[in-house]
Amino acid sequence: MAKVGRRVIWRRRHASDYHETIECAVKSDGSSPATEFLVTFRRGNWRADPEHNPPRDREQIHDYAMLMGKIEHIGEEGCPDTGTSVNHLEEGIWEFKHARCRLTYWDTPGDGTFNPKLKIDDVRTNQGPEGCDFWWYPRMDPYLRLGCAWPKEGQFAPPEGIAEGKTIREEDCAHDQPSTGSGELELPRGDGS
Amino acid sequence: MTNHQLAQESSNFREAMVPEAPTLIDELESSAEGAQEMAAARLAVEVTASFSRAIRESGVSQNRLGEVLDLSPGAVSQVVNGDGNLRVSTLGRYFRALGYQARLFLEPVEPERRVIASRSTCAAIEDELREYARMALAACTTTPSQVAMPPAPIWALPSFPKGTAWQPVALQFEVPSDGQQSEVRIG
Repeated sequence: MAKVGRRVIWRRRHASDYHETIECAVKSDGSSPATEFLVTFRRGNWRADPEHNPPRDREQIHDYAMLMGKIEHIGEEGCPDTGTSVNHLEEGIWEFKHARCRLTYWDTPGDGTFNPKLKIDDVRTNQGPEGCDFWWYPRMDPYLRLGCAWPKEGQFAPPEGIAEGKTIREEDCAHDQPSTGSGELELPRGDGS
Repeated sequence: MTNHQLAQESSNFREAMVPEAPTLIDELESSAEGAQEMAAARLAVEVTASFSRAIRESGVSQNRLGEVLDLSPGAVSQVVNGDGNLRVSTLGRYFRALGYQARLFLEPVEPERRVIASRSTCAAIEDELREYARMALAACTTTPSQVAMPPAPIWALPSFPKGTAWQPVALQFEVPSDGQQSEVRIG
C-alpha cells in the first residue's frame, strides 16, 4: 500500500480501460518533478521552452491539453496514438513526446517493484496490448508513473535526464514497498525481487 | 463493540464515502475553456489513433497512400503522424483512401443530451455489432463461459448508440444443450 500521495493525471473509468492510473512519481524527499512541470506547463510558464503555448490561436489546440489527451489515450488503450507520441529511452524509461516537450514515464505493478519494459525489437515476439497498432510497444503493468521533463534540444535525450528518470523510479517505487522491521525501506531490484 | 472499534468503523465508513481526488484531466475540464480544449485534444488524438489503426488494418503503407492521394510521403507523414488537427475534407479523403468512410458520432457529456449519429452511421455500427456477435458465436465451444471472444472493435461494445432511430439493444447468446447452433438475436 502506498505511503505517499501522488498527483493523478488519469484514472480508470471504464472496465475496458487498459491501465489503472497514471500518476506523477514522488521522490524520496517528497518532491515530484512531474507535478511541478505539469503545473508550470499548464500555466504557460515553462521557461525551458518559451515558445510553447504561443499566443492564443483558436485554430490550435493547447499543448497542455494535447499532452493530457495523449496520456489519457495510453491509459485507455495501453498503447500510443501514433508511433511518434512515445519513445523508449533506456532500461524501461520511456518518454511522452509532444511538440518540444519530453516527459519520462515507466510502469509498475504498484507493489514497490518494477520490471523494465523495453522496446520490442522482433515483431515475432510481440506481446503488446491486444489490438495495439505498434508491435514494438510492450505490454505494460497497470500503473504508469511520470518522472521528469525537459525540452527537446538535440537529436538525443540528455543523459542526465535519463539518469534522473531512473533515480526517480527507484525512489518512487520505494514508497510502495512494505516497511522492514527496522523501519528502513527496501529498494526494489530491477528483477522485481 | 468497543469505542475503538466504533471509531475505526466510522473512519472506514468516512473513507469509503470520500470521493476520489480529481485528476489533472478532471481539473482541466472543470472550466468551460479547459473542457473545450480537452474535447478538442481528445478528438485530435482519436484522429491520429484512427489513422494508425486504419493503416494497420488496411495494409496500405504511407507511401502507397501518398500515391493514391497524389501527395509526397513527407506530406502524408505530416498528416498521419501529426497532431490530428485537420480539415474535415482531409479526414474524409485520407480515410477513404485507406478504405474507410469517416463518420461522426456525438457522445453526450452533459445531462439531458442524447447521442447524435446519422441513420447511416447507426446502421454501420449495427452491422459491425451483428458481425461481432456472429464471430463470437462461431468461436463458442460448449458453454458461454468458454467462448473465446474476438478482439473488440474500435468502439466500446457496451456503449452502443441510443437514438431516436434505435430501440434498446441487447446481445443474446444461446448455446442449446444439444450442441445445435443457435440463432444470435440482437434486439
